[in-house]
Amino acid sequence: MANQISVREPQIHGNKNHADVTQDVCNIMDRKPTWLWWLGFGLALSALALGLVSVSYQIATGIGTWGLNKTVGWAFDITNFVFWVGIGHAGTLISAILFLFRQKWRTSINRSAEAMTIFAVICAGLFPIIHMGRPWLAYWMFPYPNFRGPLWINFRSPLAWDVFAIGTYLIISATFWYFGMIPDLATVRDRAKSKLKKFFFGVLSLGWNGSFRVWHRYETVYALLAGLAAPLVVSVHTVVSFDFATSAIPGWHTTTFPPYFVAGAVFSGFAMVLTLMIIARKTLQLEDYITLNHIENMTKVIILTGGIVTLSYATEFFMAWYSGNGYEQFVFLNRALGPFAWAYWIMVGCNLITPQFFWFRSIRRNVVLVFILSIFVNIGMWFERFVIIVTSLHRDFLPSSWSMYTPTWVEIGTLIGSFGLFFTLFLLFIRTMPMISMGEVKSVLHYRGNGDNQNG
Amino acid sequence: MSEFKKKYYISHEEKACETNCTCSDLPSVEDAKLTAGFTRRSFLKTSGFSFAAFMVACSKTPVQKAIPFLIQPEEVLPGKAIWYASTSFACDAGCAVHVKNRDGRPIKLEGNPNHPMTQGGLCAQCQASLIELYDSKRILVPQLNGNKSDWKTVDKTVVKHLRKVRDAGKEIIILTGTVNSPSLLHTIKKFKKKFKTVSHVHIDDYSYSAILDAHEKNYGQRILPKYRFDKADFIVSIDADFLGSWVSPIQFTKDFQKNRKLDSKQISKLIQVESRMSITGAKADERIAMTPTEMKSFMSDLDAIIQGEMGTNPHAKKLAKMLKHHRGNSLVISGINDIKIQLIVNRINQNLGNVGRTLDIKKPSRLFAGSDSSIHSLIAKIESGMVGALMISGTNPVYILPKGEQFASSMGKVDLCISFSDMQNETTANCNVIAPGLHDLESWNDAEQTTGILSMTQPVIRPFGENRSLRQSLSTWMGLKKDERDLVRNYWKKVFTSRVKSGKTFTRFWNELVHDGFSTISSKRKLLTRFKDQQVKIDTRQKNELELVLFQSSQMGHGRHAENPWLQELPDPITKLTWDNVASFSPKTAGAYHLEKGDLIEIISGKIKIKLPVFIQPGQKNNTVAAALGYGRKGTERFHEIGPNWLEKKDTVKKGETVGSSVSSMILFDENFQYGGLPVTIEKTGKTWDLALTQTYNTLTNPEKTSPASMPVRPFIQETTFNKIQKNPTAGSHHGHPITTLWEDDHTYEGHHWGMAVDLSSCTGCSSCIVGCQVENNVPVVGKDEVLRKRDMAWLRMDRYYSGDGENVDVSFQAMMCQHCDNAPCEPVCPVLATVHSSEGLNQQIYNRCVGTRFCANNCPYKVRRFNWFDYAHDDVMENMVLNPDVTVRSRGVMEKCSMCVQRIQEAKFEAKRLRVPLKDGDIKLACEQSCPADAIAFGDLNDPESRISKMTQSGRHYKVLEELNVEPTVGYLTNVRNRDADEGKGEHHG
Repeated sequence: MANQISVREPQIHGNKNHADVTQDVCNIMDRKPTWLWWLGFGLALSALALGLVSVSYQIATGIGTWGLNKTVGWAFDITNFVFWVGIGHAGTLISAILFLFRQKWRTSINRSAEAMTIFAVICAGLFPIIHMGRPWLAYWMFPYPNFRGPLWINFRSPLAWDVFAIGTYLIISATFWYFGMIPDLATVRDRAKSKLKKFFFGVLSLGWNGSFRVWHRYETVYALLAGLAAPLVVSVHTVVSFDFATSAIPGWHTTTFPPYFVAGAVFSGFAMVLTLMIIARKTLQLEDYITLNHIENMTKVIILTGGIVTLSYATEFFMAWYSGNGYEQFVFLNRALGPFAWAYWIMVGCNLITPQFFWFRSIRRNVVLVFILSIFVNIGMWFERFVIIVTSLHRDFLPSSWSMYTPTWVEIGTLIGSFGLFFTLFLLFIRTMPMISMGEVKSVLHYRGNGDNQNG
Repeated sequence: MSEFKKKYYISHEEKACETNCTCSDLPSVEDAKLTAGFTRRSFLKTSGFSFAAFMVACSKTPVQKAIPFLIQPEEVLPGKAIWYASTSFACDAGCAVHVKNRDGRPIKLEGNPNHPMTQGGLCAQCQASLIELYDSKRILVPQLNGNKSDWKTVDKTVVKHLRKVRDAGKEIIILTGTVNSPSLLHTIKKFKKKFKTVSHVHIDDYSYSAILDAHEKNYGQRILPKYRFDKADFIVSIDADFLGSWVSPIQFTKDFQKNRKLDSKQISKLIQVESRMSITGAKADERIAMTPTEMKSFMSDLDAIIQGEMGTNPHAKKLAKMLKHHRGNSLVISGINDIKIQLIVNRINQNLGNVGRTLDIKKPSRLFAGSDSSIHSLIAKIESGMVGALMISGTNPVYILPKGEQFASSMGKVDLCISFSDMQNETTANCNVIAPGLHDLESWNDAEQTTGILSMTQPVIRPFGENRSLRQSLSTWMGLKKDERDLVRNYWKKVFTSRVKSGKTFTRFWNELVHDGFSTISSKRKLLTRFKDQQVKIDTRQKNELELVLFQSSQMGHGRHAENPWLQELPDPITKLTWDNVASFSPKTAGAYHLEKGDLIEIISGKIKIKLPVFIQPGQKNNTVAAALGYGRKGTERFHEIGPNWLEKKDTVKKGETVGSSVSSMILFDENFQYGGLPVTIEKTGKTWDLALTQTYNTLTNPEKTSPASMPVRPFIQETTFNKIQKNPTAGSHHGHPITTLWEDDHTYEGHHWGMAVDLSSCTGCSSCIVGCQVENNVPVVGKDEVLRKRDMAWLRMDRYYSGDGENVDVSFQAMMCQHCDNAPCEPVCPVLATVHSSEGLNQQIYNRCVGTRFCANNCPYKVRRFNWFDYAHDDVMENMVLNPDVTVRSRGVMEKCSMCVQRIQEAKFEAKRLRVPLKDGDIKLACEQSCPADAIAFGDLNDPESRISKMTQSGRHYKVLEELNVEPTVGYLTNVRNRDADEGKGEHHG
């Protein structure tokens, strides 16, 4: 029985060796972009331009250019904020948590996922600034030393916690992403033909020389940063959920929000990673690196987190009924049967039903279907935040204040603009940075699991 | 405004005279420097005060140089207000006011609490009339044939013309609103003597002629009785909205409240019979909906039953019984302007022995004297060409008359048409001379609104332009050169001995009159005959068609205030509609005609067609259409631009269009101006119209589909009946959850702990508190589109909830403002500490720290916070003079809300400290509290057990909204008590 070796499917297909990996990944940066990239970039840039115009108009003229009113003080702005922050969590989970759990399959997607996180957090971070009535005073949200008392911020406010949470998230994610990239940047530097590129990547790679010492330090720092970033997956979105959970409004005032939001974040984040990776692997011919196994693994995470989200919905309904609190019960009845019921059922349809398809292996391994379903998941998750925010606000305690909400073109333009920013940054990233972690992929090329077959 | 610091001044001129400082005496700066003891500090002080002092001291000489005073006039301090007593005639009733002057200009009107008629109350129209003073579209120079002119030319032309008319034997007609000013009547008398063929015709914006004519038939004199709602224990009002818009609503509200004291053994009972839903109907203990025709036959039956004859109407039977039970202390009134009905009313009151007790005809009101028949003859005279000169003052006949356009073209037959209006309107467009009159705040006036009480109006600011009062113009044309004040003063000096029976000297009388704003004078009792019964036959045939009901809204009157943005944006108390008028239908009638809210329809009577949007009004009688008068006024085209400009903005009115539609053409003018009962048909246009409502969900009952079983009705308004509350002082209240607090020792209020209470039983929903707050706190006007988007800025709102259904509907009002919660949910969520709690219990909003994240507004369970979505334009420099300098004007991106008039609290505290006296209960009056004619709002120190607020808080009726949230609001409400039996009425809330 000694010859019975259980052979695990290789992580990377196509019998790649180290040189292949370097070649495949760096080629993407070297060669001229295809018309597909230009098409995507053009669309993203136009969306970004629309966003810039919308945001400039809104900041110059006032929050009145949005569809908010005296009853619904937040709608698209905070929905977009939570949506983008949520998306970012998948990247950190893949980068940090899966690293700590020694999931080797993360290696082909973690670089892009982490990049996605940073871009998503940038998109997210814009919204708290632009949603302010006086965004030129946004710096007042930071506790800087001053002579006005000194006057500090309100440390009890969830919005102040958001500042710290998003701030630390951005800094740590960027740090982790950058430090993780240093060996790859050195590779690009070494391969660079033009002087400018050599100089640029030379600066970025901080004098990496590939020696044992720098590798050793790199691994240590990587592990430390992973350890630092891992709790952020849970903490950041918990803090974001506190924006609602700590309030007094029925529909917001609930302790299920932290785990519910974190699960939802991972849920939507993985869906976005899938969307991006499926496009990337097809257009950049990376099917060998981002295999069906990677896709299948991610869909499994979606089943899990989608399940938690479903459980949260059920818990909310149960608690509303069980509490006997009329206001609480009304909010949920209003969500399902009131004027925004259409949004609610989109949310439920997309979030509850979509993940159920992934129970079937054939669907999990069908790239087209996974792509379509991942889009639905993100639609559902966007609507989830919209439903939470708008339906809880528009009909709260005193019926004399009940009102409806309709977005304006400026708000829609801003939403489209955020997608534009995200995709512009991501498309630029693909072309200018090594989008697959070459160093880490090389370390799992020969991984076979139980046996150790040295054959290439 | 605290009592001890009110500084009443006699007049600008008196003060100037006292300090011996006239314009020509002002020293130059050089002189000032040379004077010994004049330091640089005092120079800077006085130069800073120069403009203010100048405005105060000078009212005749135009400004040439602003020169600082050498000696500051006494008691003129920048930053300190000076108060003057006056009377405002923004509404026809005329409210006695105290005018707050800052830096030489009036910035707030408050009711004069000493005046026996209005007793400190102030209606929404008078509150808002302040901004009309600062209207940049006011006509400030006389106009001749459409061109700007000057008084010399105009006077010459007019006098020439008048003489021509007199010599030709044609008539000179002075057409005014009701004039009860003795001095003006005297001037007109003199004018008549001079120009011989002069006649003076009164026309009221809303006619009460039938009441006056009926009294003439019954008692020999045209009388509008003085109604004594304080003495009436049982009131039956047939279509008279006496708490909202009929005759003198402020006085009536005050008087009505006197007989509704819930701690006494009994309170009055009010039965309102009407077609539309009015404020009085909302307040009534019982409301019976009837069409105008039904009301007339009801009255006929009521009359018959009281006389002991037969009557079939079941309501009439029941009410007749109760009225007979209240002989001598009941009151029957009717707003139906039909002499037949008013004769019936008089007979009923006579038979019940009410005359002289609950209504006074010996010392009657003098508020309205218009005669419908004289209008008929006026129109006939003008059409026949017998009129050579027509002078129109204080009225807009082309707009208010049903055949206004015809009147306008008839005016072409009159050689000389003079208007004394200071705003362009439908009538001035047809006048060849405009001799612009003064605003109340710029003029001297006397008024005898009710027999025996003389009210005074004095100017509190120098006129902006060259305007002249009617009195002055007429005097000038008679060849008398007297200034405004002298004309009034000299008249009273002349009649002093005959009209004022007191031991005072004239000077003393005059000074006290101007200081107090009123004085008692003697009155000639009207010579009345005994009651002469008149035969009346009412056509009681039921009509089977839609009957039109026209009414005055409490904000607009009959169009007088159409150009007042505050009043246009003030939500109608019942409909909550702004910037429009509508055609209201009952839900059943709307269903029958397949009408939905916002459908644009045409109301048709003969050849007259009026387009109005549909509104569904719960409680309105089936088969009636109700529409408000006063809209569609020329001049409202100016509101095309109002409101912030942005990409998706919809204009308040399209270019060239007016706000709302005029329904004056539908007034039936036969023997009387009839405002109700005209049969009409309707036609759909297929179009819809946006209605800017501040409240769109109108009941406390949850929507059917989403109603949780545990709470089908939200318990914010507690109501009960008088019988129940007599037995149990806490009747009607829910028993809140006992709440334990974790921080009992943390938040103690050692000094003052300010609190408020709103007595729902007293509140009539009139909304004058809302305007008062707007004036005091510089709340911006946002325009129709913003209101439609639910972005109105009012800090105080009047929530209105219906209960019941169909025609049997109860209306409940709840004034909702920031509750200043001790555990405010808005405070912990602001990231920059822009909202914090004061040591005296106020929830403060610090405008300059706010960055506008809006979390506070989201977290407020009462939704009382308002966000500045845009920079609301303050480009109109003249209009900016109305702003209160004590309150920040907020920029965009900043949150605002009711501050409990912290500026007034601080002012009073500082003054008390300065004078070293303790602050007494009642020293501080918030703007809303001060405006309320029903004294429904109370404010005070909860730490003072003797204060009114503490007593109200300890009352069994006291409760708080959303108490179970443990936000600990310091604003409480008192249960609404209706005087009805438990099984009467509908929809009583939570037992």
